Amino acid sequence: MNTERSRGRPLPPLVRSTLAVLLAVMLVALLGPGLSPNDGVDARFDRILSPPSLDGAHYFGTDDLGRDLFVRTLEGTRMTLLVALVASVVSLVIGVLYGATAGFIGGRIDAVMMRFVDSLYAMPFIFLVILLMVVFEQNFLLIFVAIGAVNWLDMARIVRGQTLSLKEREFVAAARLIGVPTGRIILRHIAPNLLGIVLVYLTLTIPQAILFESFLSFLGLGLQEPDASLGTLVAGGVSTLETAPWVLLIPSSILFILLLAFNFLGDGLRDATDVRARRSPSS
Amino acid sequence: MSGLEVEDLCIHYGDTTVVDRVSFAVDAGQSVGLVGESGSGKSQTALAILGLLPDNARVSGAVRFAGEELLGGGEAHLRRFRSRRIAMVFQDPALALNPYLSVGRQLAEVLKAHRLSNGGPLRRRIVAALERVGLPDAERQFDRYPHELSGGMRQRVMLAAALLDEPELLIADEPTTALDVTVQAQILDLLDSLRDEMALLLITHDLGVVAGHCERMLVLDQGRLIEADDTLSVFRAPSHARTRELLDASRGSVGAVADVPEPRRIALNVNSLEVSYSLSRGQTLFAVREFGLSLDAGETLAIVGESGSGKSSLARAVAGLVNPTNGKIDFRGEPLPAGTSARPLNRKRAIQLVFQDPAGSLSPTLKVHDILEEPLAIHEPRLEADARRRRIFDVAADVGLDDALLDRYPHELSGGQAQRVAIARALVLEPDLLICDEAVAALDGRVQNAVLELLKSAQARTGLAMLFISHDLSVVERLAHRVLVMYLGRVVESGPASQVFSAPAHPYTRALLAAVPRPDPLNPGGKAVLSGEAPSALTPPSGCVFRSRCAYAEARCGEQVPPAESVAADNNRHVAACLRLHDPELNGPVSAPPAERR
Repeated sequence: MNTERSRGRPLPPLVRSTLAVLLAVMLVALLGPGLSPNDGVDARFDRILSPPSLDGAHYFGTDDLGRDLFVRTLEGTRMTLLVALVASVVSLVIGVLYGATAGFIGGRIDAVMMRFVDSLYAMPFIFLVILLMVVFEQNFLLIFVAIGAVNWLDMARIVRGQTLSLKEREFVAAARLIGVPTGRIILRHIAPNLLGIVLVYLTLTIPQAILFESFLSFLGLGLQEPDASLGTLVAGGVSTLETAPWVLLIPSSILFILLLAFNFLGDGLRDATDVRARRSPSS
Repeated sequence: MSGLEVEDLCIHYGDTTVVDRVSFAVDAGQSVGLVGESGSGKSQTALAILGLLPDNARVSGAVRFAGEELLGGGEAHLRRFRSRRIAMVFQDPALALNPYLSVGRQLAEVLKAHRLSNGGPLRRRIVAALERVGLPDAERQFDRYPHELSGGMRQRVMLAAALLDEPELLIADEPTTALDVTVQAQILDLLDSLRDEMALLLITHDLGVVAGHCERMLVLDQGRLIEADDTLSVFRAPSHARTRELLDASRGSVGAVADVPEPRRIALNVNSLEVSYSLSRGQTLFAVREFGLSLDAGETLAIVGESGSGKSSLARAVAGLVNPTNGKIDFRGEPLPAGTSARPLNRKRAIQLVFQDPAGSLSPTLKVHDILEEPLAIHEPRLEADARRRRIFDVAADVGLDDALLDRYPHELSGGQAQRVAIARALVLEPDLLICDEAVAALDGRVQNAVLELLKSAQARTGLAMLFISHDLSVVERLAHRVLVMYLGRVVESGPASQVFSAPAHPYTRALLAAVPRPDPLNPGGKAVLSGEAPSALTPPSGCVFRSRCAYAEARCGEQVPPAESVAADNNRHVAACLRLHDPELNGPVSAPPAERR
């Protein structure tokens, strides 16, 4: 498992096309709202629930308060991506440091650290989040914390397992024999070999974070009006499903595309970095 | 002529041709050896016969069995042949057996799949099949799981499964490569005795195996069949230059072993060393016990033994990768601290180790150049960039690495190249002691010779002492000044290589030497003198550890650990640990080759 093997080789077409889709969505989400003449908070009761049209640049129509859905959806996408990114980075940093430390030190410290992870796993996070929301009131930061707190556990376990097996590999023993100090062993001989799996896992964490944020928002525990994420938009669209299906369908389609793209990207990267998958037959 | 006929067989993966127009025949009842180096396409050929190649392989040509075409007939058609008429056993029996099924259940599956289950009680027939392949205590093995069996026993189970249906042809793909040499001899003998009317296609890289067990041999080289003739004729007069190279490599055309430089300086001295591992349930495994050796500068000492003899634990203890539980290691007259972290930097520099798996011992994310540079960066940080680069290029040239390879990653190297890099990394520090732990075991014959040559020339140049750990006696013969034979963690015999090989004293050494297959059809070696396999190091026999497999064991062997004694009164360099060392009976029949060989 390492990224060096794929250096110099073109990425698989699936990975390249999903990357293109993701970049396009991000670009539109970043630039789109500024290009539109409308803004997302402007409630206009004369155009409640109007269907998508070029008229007035309401490409995605309007919602039940007459706000422009195009701008709101793009802002929601931006928010969703931001939440996902921050949550993933939080889980990456905590998870990799925690897992690599536990794996490399090993022994009793490893046992204590991993039992702590196990006990966190045992906590019912949805209830915990509900509790947090009730106690601290609804807080934007809290969503990051909650999602990051769930995701780093998986990352820590994966990194620890990988470190444990890398530590026993002969090239690490060879480095020890040469006299390479521990810090340098971790940096030069272990970390680069973790990179592949961490990268893959990160791209698989992002859709989880997106989904979790949407789920919280859908339950009304996430972002609050007038802020929007794809989750709150989907939640808002449910009530008008029969009269104005686009209010639900457009943000959910974007959510669907995003999730699919990240999952494809993760799978594609996993295949691309898996050494065994690309080994040629030998007799 | 109703056997197997292969005609113009070609196998392609994409643009790569793996097997190129190969034609041969295996007549009914014949035993044919298919030999070649790794990558020559021999396994691919075997897999193609039974339609077992991966989906992305393109196969063309014809494979006929008893006149019926096998290629392109589809799964259902092939199933009529697989294991009913053509059976196959693979190299690694641990991978070929389902770990979740007991031995009996696995064989029952075969019987059921072939709708043969109505020929009497299943259990009795399976036990009979297991007895036929010489599995000891077959009744009890029926309910055991693969992980409870040793490698040799697993291969016997695989054979039993393959032979359940009385196939007309058995394809054996490196069936003994994963086994110890004494077990290999047993399995090959068993194959011979089971053959009766069955034809055998034996795929192997070991020409010694072919010499002893095959009437005809086929030689593959880069996917092409370059030789097909009687085994005897091929060995006597190979028609193709590459065959000659292979034969030479197997006979070990490495130059003579140079003398140890005088005056002698002691490099390494190990005294009453003990390495043990504590396992769960309070058990302790003694990998190395009461072990002693001494090694001079410029000398090569080979440590020989089967798997589980503790030779790797010894290597790792000396290198500092395992902490010995007892004993003393002196290096150039000074005590050596246990464990690498306790050793000063200049001591680490002086002792280097080359591992068995060349690819596994090189960091996959570093280029060859960086791998060779790292030791210099640690030990000679003041070295200027120019001087450092020169050192790297020099050592690369010394081990025969092309400059262009310095820019590659380990996975872009062949096994031989990777092992050269590993050796270069060890040599760039100019160590005083080089430990080679099965350093050539994973390499093909020709590459093996080249690496041995390389080690010898490095020794001649720098006068380093070498501790050469190996299970392969034919390799040791070409390299070592002295040999030390280990069995279950103890030394059973040691002495100058020439004496140990020409006049082995301990019954175990003799059995080991007799079991080595020799690439000579008239005197093929590979004799199964020992039965069974070494007992677990967890429960070694009392007294002499070898007595449970020794034909000469007496009651007193169980009471006393035999001391090391001189084999001949006037020679204190050749010693063996056997209570009956000077017993005339022991020195009688076994040293001469037994006459009852088939």
